[in-house]
Amino acid sequence: MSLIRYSTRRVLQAVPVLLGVVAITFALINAAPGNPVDIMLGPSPNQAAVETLKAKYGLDQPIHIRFWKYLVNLVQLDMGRSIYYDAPVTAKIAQRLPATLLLMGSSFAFAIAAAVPLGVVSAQRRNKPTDHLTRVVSLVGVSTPSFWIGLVLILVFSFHLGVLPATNLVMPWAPPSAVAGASTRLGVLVVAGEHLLLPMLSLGTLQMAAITRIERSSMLEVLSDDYVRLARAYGVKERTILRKHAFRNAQLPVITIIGLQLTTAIGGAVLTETVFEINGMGRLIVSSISRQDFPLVMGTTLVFAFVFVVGVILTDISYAYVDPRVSYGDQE
Amino acid sequence: MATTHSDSETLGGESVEDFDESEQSVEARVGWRYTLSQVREDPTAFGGFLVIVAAAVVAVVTTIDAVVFEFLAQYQVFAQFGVEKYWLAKTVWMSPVQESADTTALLPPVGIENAYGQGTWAHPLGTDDRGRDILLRLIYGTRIAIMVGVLATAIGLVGGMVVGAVSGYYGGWVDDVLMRLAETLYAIPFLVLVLAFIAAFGRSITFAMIGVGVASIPKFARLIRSRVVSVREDEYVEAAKAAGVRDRNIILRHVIPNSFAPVLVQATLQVGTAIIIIAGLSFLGFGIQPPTPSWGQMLSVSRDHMIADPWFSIWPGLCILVTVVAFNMFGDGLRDALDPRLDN
Repeated sequence: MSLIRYSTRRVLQAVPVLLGVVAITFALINAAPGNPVDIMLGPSPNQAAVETLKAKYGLDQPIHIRFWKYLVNLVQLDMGRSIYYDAPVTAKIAQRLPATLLLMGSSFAFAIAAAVPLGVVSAQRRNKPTDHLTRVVSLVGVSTPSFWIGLVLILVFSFHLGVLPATNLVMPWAPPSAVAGASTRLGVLVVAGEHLLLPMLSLGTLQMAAITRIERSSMLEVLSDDYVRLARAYGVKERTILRKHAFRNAQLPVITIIGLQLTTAIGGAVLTETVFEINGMGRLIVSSISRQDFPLVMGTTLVFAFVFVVGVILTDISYAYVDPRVSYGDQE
Repeated sequence: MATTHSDSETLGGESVEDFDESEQSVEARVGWRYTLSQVREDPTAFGGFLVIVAAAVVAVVTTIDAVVFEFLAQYQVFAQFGVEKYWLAKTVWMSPVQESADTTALLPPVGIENAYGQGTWAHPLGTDDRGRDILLRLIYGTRIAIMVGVLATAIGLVGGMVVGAVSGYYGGWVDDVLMRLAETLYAIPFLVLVLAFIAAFGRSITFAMIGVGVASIPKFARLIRSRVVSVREDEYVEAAKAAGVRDRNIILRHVIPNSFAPVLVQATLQVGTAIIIIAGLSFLGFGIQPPTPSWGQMLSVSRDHMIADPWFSIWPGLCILVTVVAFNMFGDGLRDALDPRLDN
């Protein structure tokens, strides 16, 4: 019960933050020197055309009224119209968001699946060859730009070996008729997997390395705790200590890091999408900046922030769920 | 362990020696010396330190070549000595930005033995798509990476220090307002915030750098605030208050120096992050604009020449990797040295 109350409280706390995000983004975008109407109409525009367009995009009103209107529309999931596409921003984002979420979700799954065992083994065999290797790999992993990993993967697997595709991501839920080289549902999944593998590795390596480092140091800390030493003194087997006593308690810092890694993962997704030419949110924000399509820049920024905030809330809630010591803020 | 022993020795020796100079700096300086001696004993951290020093030297020399020589070339006196932009680079090699016909002539036709990308003695890593020497462009790219990475971090550090110190020292509504603001900025993913910043102010390396700096302010501010809050209650701060020292001086002379250790670690690591982010921005076309050489922008160009010249996409990435690994190794070493509790 209290967990539900805690979750609700956490969600409510996020509302002012998101409101602040909207305000900051709105201020930033409106600080831009060029005004979108000038960009659309070129150097010497017809005055009447300027007025019509300004009215169409609501630019003829003072900024606080525009902000209020933006908020009111935002609550109704209306983020205005994209200048370049001449279509609702929300429609554009809805079209692009799935690819980004698929990329990020899969890379996190890969990162967690690889990092947790690596970190545990590394801590268990501290200062042995396995540990040194893991530490080097994770150090290199956190220091490598994800887009370069992508380029190298493309060079090796697409150009040199020719085994995996470099572009044209296929969605696993696409109908078989729309996917080249697949005739059944299973076929689509296989093709989608082939396409997803390289971007997933490219984006996931950084997350994997960062989580491995935390997992290792957290395990080391727990393994030197008094209760673990007591268990050893009682002659409990090392495997049992690891599995029953140390592992669960070492996961709390790891959960926090997973949430915070979302911010780098989103940045990485922007670059990875560019490298692999995935039509996701990342490429959308990059291209709309180049086109000075401000409503779209604003919409994508807000959605990215929203994804991040939701991710952090989810990790907070799972933290509270895992750690019984977390007070839900009831009384004490 | 031996470390605890050398700890007390250093502390004792230094504090007696420097005691009469200025009281407030003693503690900080002892910490510094001790930390540096610890780092020197850690081969990984020291290796990272050496790489950073080497990169910094390269950055300074190439900056003199590219910026100072250009400035000096305006004056007749120096022109007599043949001083011009990229004088050094041109003497040893060809200019990293030159795109004239003679450099294109140096580009061998594709298909013969030393097609572009293949090394010759004159061009060890080959030439790029415009016939410019890749090794030289990598060397000149160091300048941008180090300079922009350090400056961006400095912006974040100074901004974060002001916000964090004020917020932590005064508490109350000032603290509330500043921290809510930091929290809000923090809620926008780092690269997205920088992109929004660039969208608003324009695509150039200056705005990219300022954007990265501003976007890292919340991180530093929160760290410094948490330190300041714990230092604020210390007795020497109360003593200074009782003695009538002004708030500004208490913050500058007592609170910040005593909160600085973890901030330094964070700053070192942040330089590495900033280098990666700015390389990414250049890769997207929002950072350094051609023809000025930078690693990120070279990677971006290399994408179109991956089949003709696979190694062209490898080298700039390796440069970023080595530099960032160095900053991370040094930062980790510093953290270990400053935190005796963890010994790994």
